[in-house]
Amino acid sequence: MGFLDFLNANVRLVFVQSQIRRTERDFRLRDKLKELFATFRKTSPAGWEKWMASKDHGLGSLGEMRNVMICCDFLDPKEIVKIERT
Amino acid sequence: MLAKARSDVIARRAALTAPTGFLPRLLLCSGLPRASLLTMIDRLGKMGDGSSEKDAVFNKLLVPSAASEWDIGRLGQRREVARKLLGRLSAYLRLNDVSVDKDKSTISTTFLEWLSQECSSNEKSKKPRHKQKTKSTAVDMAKLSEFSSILKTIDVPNEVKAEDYRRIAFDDELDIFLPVKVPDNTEKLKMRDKIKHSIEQTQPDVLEPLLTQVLDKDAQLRPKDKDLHLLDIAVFVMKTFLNLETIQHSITRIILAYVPRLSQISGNPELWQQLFSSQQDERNEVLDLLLCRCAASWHPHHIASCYEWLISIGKTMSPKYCVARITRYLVVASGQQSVHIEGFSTKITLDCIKSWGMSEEFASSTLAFAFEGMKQATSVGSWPGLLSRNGMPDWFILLLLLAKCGRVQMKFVGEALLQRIAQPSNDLSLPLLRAVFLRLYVSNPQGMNLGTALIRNVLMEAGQEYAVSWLVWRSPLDDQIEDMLDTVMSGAGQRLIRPLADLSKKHPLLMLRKCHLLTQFLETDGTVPDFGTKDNRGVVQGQSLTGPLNAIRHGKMVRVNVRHWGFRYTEYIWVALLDIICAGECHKFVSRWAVTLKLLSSRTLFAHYFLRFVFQFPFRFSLGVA
Repeated sequence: MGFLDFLNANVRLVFVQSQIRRTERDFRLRDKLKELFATFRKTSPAGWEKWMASKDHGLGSLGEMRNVMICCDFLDPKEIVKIERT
Repeated sequence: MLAKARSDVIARRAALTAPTGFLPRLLLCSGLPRASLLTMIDRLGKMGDGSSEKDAVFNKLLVPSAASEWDIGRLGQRREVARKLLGRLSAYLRLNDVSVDKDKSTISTTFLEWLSQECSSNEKSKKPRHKQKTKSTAVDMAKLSEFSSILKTIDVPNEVKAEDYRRIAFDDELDIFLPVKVPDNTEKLKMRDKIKHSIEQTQPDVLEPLLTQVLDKDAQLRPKDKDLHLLDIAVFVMKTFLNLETIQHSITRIILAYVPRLSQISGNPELWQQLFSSQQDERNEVLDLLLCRCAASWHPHHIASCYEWLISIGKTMSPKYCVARITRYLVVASGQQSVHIEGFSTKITLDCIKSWGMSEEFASSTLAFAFEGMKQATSVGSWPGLLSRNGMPDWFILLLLLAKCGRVQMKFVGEALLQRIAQPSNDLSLPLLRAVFLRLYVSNPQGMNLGTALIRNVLMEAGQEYAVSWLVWRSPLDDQIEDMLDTVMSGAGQRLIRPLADLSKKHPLLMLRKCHLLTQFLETDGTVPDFGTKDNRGVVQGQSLTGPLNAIRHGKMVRVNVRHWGFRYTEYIWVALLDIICAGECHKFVSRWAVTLKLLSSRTLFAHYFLRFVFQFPFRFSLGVA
């Protein structure tokens, strides 16, 4: 449907912006994405997990989308570890 | 002189500009060409037509006082002038091979008819009775054969009786007769026998002239004199054709060409029953083609009466009729715009079918035909055309046309579909009904009431099943959404963000179809242009953490800024597109949508998740109530 690609583009931009020196902060975009991801995660846990495990997000060197999300501060590493243990 | 010119244009103009009083004088001239002759006859005829007292008008033209101004000496009394004029005109008609009846549609023959009546009445009153008896009908018949050149364009039966003819001209040297009676039943029966024989014996070279003759003969009759002869012939031809053991292409060609013309003005149930009858072999294809030609050539009143008949038989749904052909006809002859056309006016254009889709009886019958067509078309398990972008099946177009008539009709169609979805049968499977429902929504989104939870659920399930197919379907909102997105992306339409978000709330499924476009916009916006743009409002610029790099170019040290994708972006565009997608407070209704996830196959899992994810937003209030 293209919705995953839409999300991937957003995450990729946030990741690139987090790696460079910029004049303005991307608070607005980041907040909106956080809200969207939270809803997605609650609405469709299985879908969320599949997306987290996907690697075709355009940042192949980072591996799974989960790693990109951690780099972008969308996910807390401790929480990931906790989930993995449970 | 000009009226005798060789050029038709000059002769006609001369005849048009001559004073009315001199027209009879000009008609008495010798050597008139056809153009000026017919023009003058037409002018005189129209003069009589336009007057309430044509006798007085015509008499006034021929009285001695008027004739004295013609400067050709004394012609005699009015009766003598009339006789001479008629004699001259008869000769002209014969020379120019003009048929009064045949050319009646192009010229007014009022003057000729008046002239013949005038001469006829003069003769009767003038001649004593015993003399009239001496002019026997045998003589008339003998003279009739002399003027075959005049009468050859008129169908004259072989065995003609004298009383069947009326003398229209009377001159010392010339008598002309024209038939005034419609051929009687015996002639009709003979004609039928010939037609039947030519069809059964596969004689197209006989059949075609016969049917042409029938049409020509009918064209010569006045409207008030026309009866249902043509329709009878059409019914008879169809009956004979359908009763053939094997059909021949040569005969089929003539049937396809002539039946629409024969039945152009009117029809009857007998004809329609044959046209819509279900046949076994290739007759079905012939009838399909024939009906399309009929729908294109029939008079609107005939189409309307046929519609009424179809609506009446829709209640019973007899198996002897071909439903596919009926639905095809209902679509072709509906007079409605294409289902893909969206305009300010979606009303029906055909005046005589103004009530198309407006009555409950009509809607019920149409719906019955559409569902029956759906059953028959999908009985083999495939749904030809339903899932593709083009070539929608007729039964679906019929449903869509009915639904587009208004909200009430859309509700009527939607409820009928939902009723069948609730109780699916073997004939109409659940996936098929869902696909129909989803396509109905995509094709007419404004007409569907999305306030009902049942409708939303059906749409979601259908969207999940046809996540791939439905992306190619046409929707009237596609262009609108894309235009608005283009404007937003151009930077000139920030005011459109709110309407787009509203549209996304109202029709999230349709907005979801545009995800690939949104992604494309984002990718484009994140790309660093080769040259800096002047308008940098809202653009977030970034630099590499390592700062500019040093490089040697043409022996000189230069500083190079390396900028990858994502180093710059227009913030409000990214935020706006997210707003459009997330138009709603989604977190409140998360648990409701996760219930059926385990039922899904892995293939459609992602599509399903995101459909549900996006779809929940606009319905939060009604879902909360539910």
